[in-house]
Amino acid sequence: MTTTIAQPLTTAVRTEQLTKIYGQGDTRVVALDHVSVDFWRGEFTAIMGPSGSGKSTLMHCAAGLDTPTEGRVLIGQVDATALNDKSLTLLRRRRVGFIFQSFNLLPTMTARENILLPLKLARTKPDPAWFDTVIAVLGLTDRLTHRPGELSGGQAQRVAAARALITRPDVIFADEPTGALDSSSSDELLDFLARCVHELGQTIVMVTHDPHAAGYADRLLQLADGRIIADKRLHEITGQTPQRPSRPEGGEL
Amino acid sequence: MLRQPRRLISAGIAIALGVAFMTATLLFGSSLSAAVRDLAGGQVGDAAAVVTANENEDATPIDRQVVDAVAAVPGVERTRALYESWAQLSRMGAQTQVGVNNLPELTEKTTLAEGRLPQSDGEVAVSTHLRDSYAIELGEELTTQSYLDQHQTQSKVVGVIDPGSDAVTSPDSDYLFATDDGATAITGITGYSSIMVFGEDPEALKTAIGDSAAIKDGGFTVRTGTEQVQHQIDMLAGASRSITSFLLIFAGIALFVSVIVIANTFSILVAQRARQLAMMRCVGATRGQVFATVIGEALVLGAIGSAAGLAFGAGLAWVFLHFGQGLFNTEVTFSASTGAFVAPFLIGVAITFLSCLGAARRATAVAPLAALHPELATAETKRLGPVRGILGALLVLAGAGLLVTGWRMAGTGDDEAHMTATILTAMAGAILAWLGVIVLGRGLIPALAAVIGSPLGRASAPGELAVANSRRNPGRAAATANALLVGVTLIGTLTIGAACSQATVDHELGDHYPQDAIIAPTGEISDGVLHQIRDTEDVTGAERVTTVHAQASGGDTTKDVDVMGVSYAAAQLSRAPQRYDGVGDGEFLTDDTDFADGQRVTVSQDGRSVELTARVSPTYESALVVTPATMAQLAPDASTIVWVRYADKADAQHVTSQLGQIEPLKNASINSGAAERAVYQQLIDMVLMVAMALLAIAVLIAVVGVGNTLSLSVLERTQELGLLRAMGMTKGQVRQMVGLESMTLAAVATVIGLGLSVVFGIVGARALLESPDISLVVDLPWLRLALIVAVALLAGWLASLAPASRAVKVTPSAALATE
Repeated sequence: MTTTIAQPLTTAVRTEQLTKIYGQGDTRVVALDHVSVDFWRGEFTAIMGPSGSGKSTLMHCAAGLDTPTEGRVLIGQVDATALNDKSLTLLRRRRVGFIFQSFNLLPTMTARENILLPLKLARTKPDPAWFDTVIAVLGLTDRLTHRPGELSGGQAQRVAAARALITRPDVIFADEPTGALDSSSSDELLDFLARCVHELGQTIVMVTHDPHAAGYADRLLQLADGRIIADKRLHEITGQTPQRPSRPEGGEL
Repeated sequence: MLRQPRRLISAGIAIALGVAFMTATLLFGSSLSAAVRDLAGGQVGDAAAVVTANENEDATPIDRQVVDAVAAVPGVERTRALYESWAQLSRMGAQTQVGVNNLPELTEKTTLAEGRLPQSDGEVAVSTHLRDSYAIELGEELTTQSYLDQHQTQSKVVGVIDPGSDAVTSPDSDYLFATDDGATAITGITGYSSIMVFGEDPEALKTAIGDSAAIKDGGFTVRTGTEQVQHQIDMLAGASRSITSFLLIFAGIALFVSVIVIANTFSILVAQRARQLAMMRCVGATRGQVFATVIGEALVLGAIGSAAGLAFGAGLAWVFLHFGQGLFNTEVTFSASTGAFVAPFLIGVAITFLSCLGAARRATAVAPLAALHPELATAETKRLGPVRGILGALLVLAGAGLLVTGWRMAGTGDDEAHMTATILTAMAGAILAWLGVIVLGRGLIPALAAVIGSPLGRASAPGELAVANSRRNPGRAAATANALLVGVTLIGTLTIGAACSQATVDHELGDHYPQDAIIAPTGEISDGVLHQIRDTEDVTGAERVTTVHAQASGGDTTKDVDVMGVSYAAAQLSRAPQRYDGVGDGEFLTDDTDFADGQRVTVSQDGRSVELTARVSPTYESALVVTPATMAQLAPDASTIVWVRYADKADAQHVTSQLGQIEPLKNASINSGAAERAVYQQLIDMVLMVAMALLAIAVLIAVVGVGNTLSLSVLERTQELGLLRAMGMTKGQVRQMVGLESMTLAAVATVIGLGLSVVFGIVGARALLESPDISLVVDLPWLRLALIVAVALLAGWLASLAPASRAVKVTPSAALATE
């Protein structure tokens, strides 16, 4: 069957023989064992695995948050493992977005300020059209002046998603983004993430332990003991959001 | 908490600094007392009894007859009469006060360093200190002036004496020693100050001498040697006690700041440990046990901090006394009383205990459930409540009221009771207003941070985050800034008060001494000499002025007057040119109300006379000021003096002594108003410097407190910092953010502190100085105030260095880790 590929399959992030070892001697733990994987542009990848399987370590290293013991990480065309802290920080600022499980927003800033913070750190002007697109897709238009304390968990995660999107990064890493949400907020957020991939062409790598959440992804990587044990394609990359077996799209629930 | 000693280091430092200050002060005090004891005993030596003249001015002097009468009392083996007085020594244009004593007995402590003892009235010996200060050589002629009648005496230096404490009260001072008659001739003051009586039975001698007619009639005091030593200790110790209590006030301020810092540290620590405390409650700890844990930690911290402070303070006192001998007129050796060690330690432990009571009480309020529900354990952000708000506002209002009252009271009365009442009112007002501002801190400080920080917030993301962070926890921000506010307010108040005092004194002295220097030569001043004066370094001008005594008669008044011929050029050299300006030929200026404005007055002198029109105004001199032309008519041979103007920043003493070295002026009298002003300036500056140095300790403690709060806040914000780092905040930006947060707090404390200082300093200076004769001149020392701001901001930045380096160690992945 021929697939309609919206863009050429290029890598957003690639790891080569990525190895991370913690401790020495008796306490030596191999968290990642020569992992080589490509995350394709415009693809929504879920990483699953039991606790201690190395999924978080893989994400930390792939995102340039942590330095691997061996191997290389290429973000875009740049070798992240060869950079010093300053260049790596700037690389993250320009190329990588993050959504974390619980602590995601700065309590002292409004939703709008939180979303624009990465641009402010980089001293660049926001693109108003893109800003409007992002907040419209994420349904945040009437929440911009609220502070994190006044937002629900789902809204807060969507603000975090908007902040990750605003810089148009090469890739967004999401670490258990639904971990602290109830199931309806969780479905809603996952829907939005999927739309970001398929409508806005974003690349997302998500770590989760929830098979239901993983079901929204195009591709599923399974890790155990620091190795990839399965790499399944759940949906073809079509440039369109696949039909879900669940609730209707969009809107506040 | 003791398992996390790093978190307690700064609280420990705050305690240690406060205790060290106190220890050093007390040790210094006890050493000084010991020195006083030594000193007081010195002159009395083994005298059995001592006769002293009464101290009031019209008391009968102890003359030769009295000494002879005492010597004649049965049982008296030997007497020694001490002569102690003062005179002014002029040397190369500079004047200094010297002690004038009769010849001491040469002993082990008091030795002849050079030459021989004076034998006749015109001969003197100088103390080694005087010789060294003025490079006096044997054979030189010294000119002294009596304070009593201003007569001058020439004496030849024949010897140098190295006096000990058995000869003089302060061995490292300037003394002239002369024969009894020689000393009297120099000072013009007759009478010995005391008679040392040597004999067997002190009590019997005291009674016998006291009963003798000469002593009874003169109203002299007789004490036994032991009583005399005690009496002198009491008198001298008063001075050393007041130094000690002066220092203790500053130690108290430092301890007050420590209390703020320690209390803040503990309340942050308790807030951060809320979950841990809740867990303790879950596994069965009672409220009492939780309370005891916190208090126990405080006591251990207090003990360690105090011990460190004690050691540090003792070291400081020792070093100061060891290397600072030059500051005293006598030898002060390190001497420690038990109290000087015990009191600071106990106070250190006690204030730590008291400071953490609030935190310990809050710790008991943590619900066990908080262990399971982290949101219950999140630190409450303390805002300004209505109770504090009203209390603070009332305090500020009451303080302002008292300040206004003090302002109004100032200058309306001249007696001491009124002045004291004014000063106390102003002080009470300042203290109340200041406490009010501190109480209002939780509202005031975050609000001001927003205002001061708004340009920062617009400038960059780290700036915006820094300002927001500084306002995040109002209670914490207020406590941190208040600690700094204490020091800044005091320093600012003193600086402004000193500047106003200086300006007022300058203004007054400008009135009293309008000329920087007046040279009254013995003969004529040639043009050459005038040029030499003008060419002297830091002299900006010199003009001749003529003076003469004359009689003035107008209407019913006839009186003796001084007449001065002042040229326009000479008037411009004065610091008060309006006194001499605009006088025309045929008229004179005076403030003497015996003459009426516009009156025709005949001024005559030595057979010549001129008729002049009087111009009377309070701005003029008391002497009659005329033009040089008028003077030439009245007194062609009037004596000439020279008015000299110095450069504004000149060292007046130095310029004056340079003038004194011009050959024809060697014997001239040089009266320097500038030097007089400089003396006051030096005095005010010195008091200011000492007070600043002492307050610096309080500021240091506050800065430690700022660093401490920041460090703990950084620890608390690990996840947030990780998030920022993950999002692309560079290490530099993190440093900048922490630094700006610290500087925002410092800036807020400085703005409030200096704002209060302006009010307190001006009102305080007015309360102290204003009298019916003196009006306050307000002068804000902008440069010094700017310096205070700069130092405060720098201190804020320095305080952020350690927390910032801790903050940049947070890895970006920290944000991903959940607790």
